[in-house]
Amino acid sequence: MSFNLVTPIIEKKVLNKDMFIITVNCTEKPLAGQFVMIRSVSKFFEPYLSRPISVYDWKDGRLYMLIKIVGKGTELISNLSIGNIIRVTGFFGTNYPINGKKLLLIGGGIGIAPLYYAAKEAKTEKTEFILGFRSKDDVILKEEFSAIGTLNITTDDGTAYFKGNPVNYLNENLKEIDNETVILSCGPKIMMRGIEKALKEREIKHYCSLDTAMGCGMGACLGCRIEVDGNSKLICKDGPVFDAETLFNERRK
Amino acid sequence: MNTSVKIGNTEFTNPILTASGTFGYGKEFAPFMNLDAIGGFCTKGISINPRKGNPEPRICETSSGMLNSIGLENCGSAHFLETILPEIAGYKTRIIVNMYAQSVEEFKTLTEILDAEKRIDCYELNLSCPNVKSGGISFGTDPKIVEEVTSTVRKTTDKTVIVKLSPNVTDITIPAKAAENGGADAVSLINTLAGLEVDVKKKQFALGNIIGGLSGAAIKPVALKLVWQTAKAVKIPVIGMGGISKLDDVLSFLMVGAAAIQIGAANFINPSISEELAVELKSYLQSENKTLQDITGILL
Repeated sequence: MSFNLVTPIIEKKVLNKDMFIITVNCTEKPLAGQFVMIRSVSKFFEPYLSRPISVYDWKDGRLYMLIKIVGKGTELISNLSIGNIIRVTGFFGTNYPINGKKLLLIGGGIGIAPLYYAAKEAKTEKTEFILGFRSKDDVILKEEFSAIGTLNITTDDGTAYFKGNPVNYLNENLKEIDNETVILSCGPKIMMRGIEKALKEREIKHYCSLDTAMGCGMGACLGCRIEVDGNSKLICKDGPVFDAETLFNERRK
Repeated sequence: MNTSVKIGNTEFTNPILTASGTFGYGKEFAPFMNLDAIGGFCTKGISINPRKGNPEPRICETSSGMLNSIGLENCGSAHFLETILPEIAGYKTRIIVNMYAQSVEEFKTLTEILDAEKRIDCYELNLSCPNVKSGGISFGTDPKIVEEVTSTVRKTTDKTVIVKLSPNVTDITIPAKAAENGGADAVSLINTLAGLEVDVKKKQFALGNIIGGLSGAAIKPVALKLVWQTAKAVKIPVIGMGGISKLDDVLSFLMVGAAAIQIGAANFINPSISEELAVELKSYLQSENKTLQDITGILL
């Protein structure tokens, strides 16, 4: 179902210097992998456009959004406090398939955002995460993720946990992943493409979620077009979740 | 309170319309608003054949606005008639098909393709597009071509013909008068203002196409000035647009002579804005005890 809410922030949790979670009341329930468009209502024209934000969690009529400060838009949102009014429009986009027996969820940086809710909604026998961060201090939400699955963490600089990125980790542990596993990923494109490269000789399904600047989130502005298999697709409407095998075309090379 | 407006032979229940390229094909907004609450909507520009549009990035945020260079990506006339129109035909609101073509002949052919379809109420001719026959210079900059395109479409259809004008000219009243001479029922303005933005971090142009069209709140004063000038210069109705985001903006355009207005980029920010403004306009007129005609053009 669709909604267009003007509503106060009811909870705000700062996780580290550039990551935070804001919460609003929202009776509509999202599908795993869907996103919302949000903007501050008090500062109407700056930034002008709304920002696409992943659903981090939804529980008992509350919508949790995990946000990273990446530019002026998200920075302005980070300055908002409990009680400030925001516009939240959604739910947009395609969803992660979460019916598989075994799920492996791979996230990089802010890309971990949609994976928590996806894992929570899935009724799987086995849930495993590989979450990649730049450094030890960037690691967030460890308790939350480990409460719902086996959590493996990587850091690029090796200050803690596995040294390297999620693709390095996957390559080292690929033999242990059977063909019943479905991989859901979100993060830098290079990471998601790297997963596809790693899966070249395998029959494992892999769905990834793309992120980009968007004008509207609902397929009206046509700003977020990409080409998939020679066809025009909109990340907001035909995605953000795509079959990674078709999207990256790495396995057929 | 009667807020209806008649343009050509089309009756709109109220003067709030939505602008081409910001409202998809209408159906995208149905989950967020009652499409019948607004006077009408303009479709994405339709061309005879489908178009892929420009390379990415195709949008870029600017101060109080945005640049776009979508490049008139659209599904083409056949897909529009077969698949999309049936999905929106059930609404009572007026459907304005925005037309994109690259020659006078193509505008004629496109009109012929669409014209049997009863549910299409009006055509809006996008004259900001390049005329292939005159070396790619936009139709809108040459008054002779504006008149020729307008009269060609006029002779091909009995539907209401609206000519959408580009602001990227020295004197907008010249193409406006040419459209009037060609038999247009109305002119609509302004289309986006040409602009570009630089991504300093990447040391690149922000848009894949380099040049895009500026829209949003930032362009409202420019649009108001051009609508005011045009409304003084022609006798046919003027449909005003450019940065309309709130009731005061709607009223400003009406006061400088717009018979109706179109909401553009604001649809992206709040997908129910057009319905909200139609409701707000009605209650404003009720509270002021005025009719639409009482405020339209009072600053001319």
